[in-house]
Amino acid sequence: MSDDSSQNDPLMQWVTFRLGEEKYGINVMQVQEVLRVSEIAPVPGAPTYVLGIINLRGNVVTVIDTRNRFGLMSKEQDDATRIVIIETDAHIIGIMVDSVAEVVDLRASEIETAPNVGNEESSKYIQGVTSRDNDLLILVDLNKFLSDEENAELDMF
Amino acid sequence: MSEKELINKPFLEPEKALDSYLSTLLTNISLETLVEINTEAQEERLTLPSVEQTDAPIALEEKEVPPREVAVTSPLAVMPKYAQEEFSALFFKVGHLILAVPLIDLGRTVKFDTKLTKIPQQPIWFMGLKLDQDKKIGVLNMAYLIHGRSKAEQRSYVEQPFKNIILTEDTNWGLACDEILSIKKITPNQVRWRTDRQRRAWLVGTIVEELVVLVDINALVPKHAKNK
Repeated sequence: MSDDSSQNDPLMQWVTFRLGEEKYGINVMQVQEVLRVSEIAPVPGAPTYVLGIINLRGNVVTVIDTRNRFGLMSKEQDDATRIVIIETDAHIIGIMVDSVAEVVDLRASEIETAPNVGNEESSKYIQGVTSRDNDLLILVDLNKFLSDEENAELDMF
Repeated sequence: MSEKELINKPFLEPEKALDSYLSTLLTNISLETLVEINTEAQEERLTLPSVEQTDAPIALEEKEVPPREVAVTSPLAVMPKYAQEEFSALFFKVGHLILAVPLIDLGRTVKFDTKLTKIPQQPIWFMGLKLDQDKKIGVLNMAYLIHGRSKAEQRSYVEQPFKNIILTEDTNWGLACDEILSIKKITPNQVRWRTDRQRRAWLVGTIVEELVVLVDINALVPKHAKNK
């Protein structure tokens, strides 16, 4: 592909993970590392979407219950469960996922807007969807994963 | 009232019976938990201009008043465009209820044979996305949209999954249903057209002989739903 078309249609890499029966993608540039689940210390009075905090090489990182965030039933952790450490505009946080799958390359033109039948707020962190191997991959905008109020709440931990 | 008078009295009961029957089939939807159903009609409130009281005599001028146009609601005015002549309708089932949709209103039908991709934090009646011919179709639970939440939740969608999906004209949306039955030709006079569609805009009328509701599936899709 020529340089011109690459500029107009940039290639991005996405880390994909599973949650329930669906596969999601997050921008690889925002992923710092992927951890096996270690001890998560609960935080009294924390919102329901916060699982707790972990000590990551001396830094306290809040771990988000992604299933709760996405309105899914909670699930027992198993060998495949991972905490993905991500960097958003506001914080470094961990998101717990059922498993991490792969890294995929996607052109911007391959990403379509996800349908929305709820209110605008309900899934504003869904950046779009794309079809891969006869399946749909849901792309998550990590900068909108938490609202401003929720980010402010995390500052208190 | 004499027996003769009774016999000559217009017999209105079948109309009432039909309304009652429909009301039973289609229980009222509590839309606050559901959707804003498409409706063009909006309530217009008429306000009277304020009149200043005065003791001065009011000069009456003779003006030529144009003849007032009287709006007559003819049956044709409440009928959709397709119903100017014979049209074909697809009969299908949602649970035990048989419904019909004019063929002209639908894109096509597809089998509910693959797993849908669920989008987080969407209303319960949005079942997910179906990838069909490289197109992502938003699939809606027709039982919820027609019957409302309380009745729709009486059914287990795991034990009794939907088998078919009827796509809207633009094929952006699919309405999940059970059986696809048959296609029949309908003449406009076989349908009792609804004159007031401010509520349940999707309910176009009733095919009288079969006592089957004719629906506008495009109007079943919530107005604010986006899939482009």
